[in-house]
Amino acid sequence: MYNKNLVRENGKFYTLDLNSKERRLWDPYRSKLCAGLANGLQSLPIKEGDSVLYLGCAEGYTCSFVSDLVGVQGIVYGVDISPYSMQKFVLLSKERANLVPVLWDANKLDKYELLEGVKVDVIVQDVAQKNQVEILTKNARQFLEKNKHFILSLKTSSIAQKSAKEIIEEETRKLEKDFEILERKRLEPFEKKHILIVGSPR
Amino acid sequence: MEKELFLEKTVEEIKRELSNPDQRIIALCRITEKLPKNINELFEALRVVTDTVYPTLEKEVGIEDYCRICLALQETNNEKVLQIINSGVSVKLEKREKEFVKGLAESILGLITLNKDIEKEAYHLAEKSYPNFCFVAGTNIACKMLVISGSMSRLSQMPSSTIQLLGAEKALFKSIRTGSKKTPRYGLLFNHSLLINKDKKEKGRLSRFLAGKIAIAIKADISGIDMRDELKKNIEKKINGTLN
Ligand SMILES: C[S@@+](CC[C@H](N)C(=O)[O-])C[C@H]1O[C@@H](n2cnc3c(N)ncnc32)[C@H](O)[C@@H]1O
Repeated sequence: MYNKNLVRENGKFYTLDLNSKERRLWDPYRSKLCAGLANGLQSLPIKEGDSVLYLGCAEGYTCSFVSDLVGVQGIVYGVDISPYSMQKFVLLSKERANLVPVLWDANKLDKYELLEGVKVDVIVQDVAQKNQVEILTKNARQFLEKNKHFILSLKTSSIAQKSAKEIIEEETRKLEKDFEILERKRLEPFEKKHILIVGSPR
Repeated sequence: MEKELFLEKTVEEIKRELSNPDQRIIALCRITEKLPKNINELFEALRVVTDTVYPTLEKEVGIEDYCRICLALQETNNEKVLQIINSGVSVKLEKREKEFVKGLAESILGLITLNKDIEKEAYHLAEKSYPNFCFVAGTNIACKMLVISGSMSRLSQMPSSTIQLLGAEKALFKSIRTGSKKTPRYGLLFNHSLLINKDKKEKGRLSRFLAGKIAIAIKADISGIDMRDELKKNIEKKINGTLN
């Protein structure tokens, strides 16, 4: 999918900065979404003007590029549970008008009053939790309508004594109950033990 | 604008969460657990040079005294040191080596002081924030319980039987793994001042009792109530009871 704020050159990815419109290099070793693109992910469902719910935004490295992708007409709600990360994310959101900070547990977003009634075009999730599929399902039910998309970074090592392959298959089966899966992408060599999954609610 | 509402709420919540001292107490305690190892390594480095000057001295005095003696070098009136120096086998250092030894000994003493300061800071934070808990468990044990559990809120959800065994996780897992009937009866509480010099049976009983009181103290701290007088009376009663 095409996004006019995304530039690919010599195998490297850049976004056009939200404020200055200058190129910013996106590091696949620091961002799983970029690692997915570097490995040939075809379906990047983030368009200009989109609203995005980003679960597990941390200090906002990837979020800042998503903020470039959606541009000034778009909006990115960055959710993280850590007050230490959120402190830095708040600073970032002061520089970027389309970033909205939310210090909260992604397991309990239905209790966040300000988000009541909000619908988004894309959910990006990177929380590294054991119940990652459950978290996505819950939030998709509330925030995502049909024909909209999610991008899930699935950690394949959080559950002990199973091979990565078994975990991926098992989690995929769980996902397929509520979602249609469009694409899966391994993230090696940039990120170990993670896979990127793009899909849509059924 | 809508964003302003989110920003306001988030900033407010960050402030509230960051005012929670748990992570700071835990981080400080972790440093004080690690620093002694570094100090010992530096002490080893010091002794590479000073061992031949003061053979066997490390068996006579602790690290701090050893370093102080090194700082004074020959100008000491400590009898043991004089005995060693005058034994005829003690090597004399060159001027350059003396400077090196002084610098290192100073740094080691500095680190020992620093470690005490860090511990003081952690204890101060803990006592200020959780007076009931520190009063019943002892600040040292209270801090260690915080480190193991990760936060006061997690501690507050533990039943007292779990609190009683905090610090005995290894022994507990071993007894489960081997199916042994010898389950541990106390973890950190083994070192509680009330358990010192008590026989085994008393230790078990008292640690169960203390764990119960600690659970109450933790809940009181979370609700911001000062129960120290009442807890003190309870504990005194129990001690006097067991003495009879
Ligand atoms: C691997 S990091 C995300 C990095 C980020 N996506 C990036 O690429 O810049 C995972 C984040 O998820 C957050 N997290 C973990 N559990 C969470 C939860 N239940 N709700 C919200 N955030 C959570 C952690 O605080 C951490 O910042």
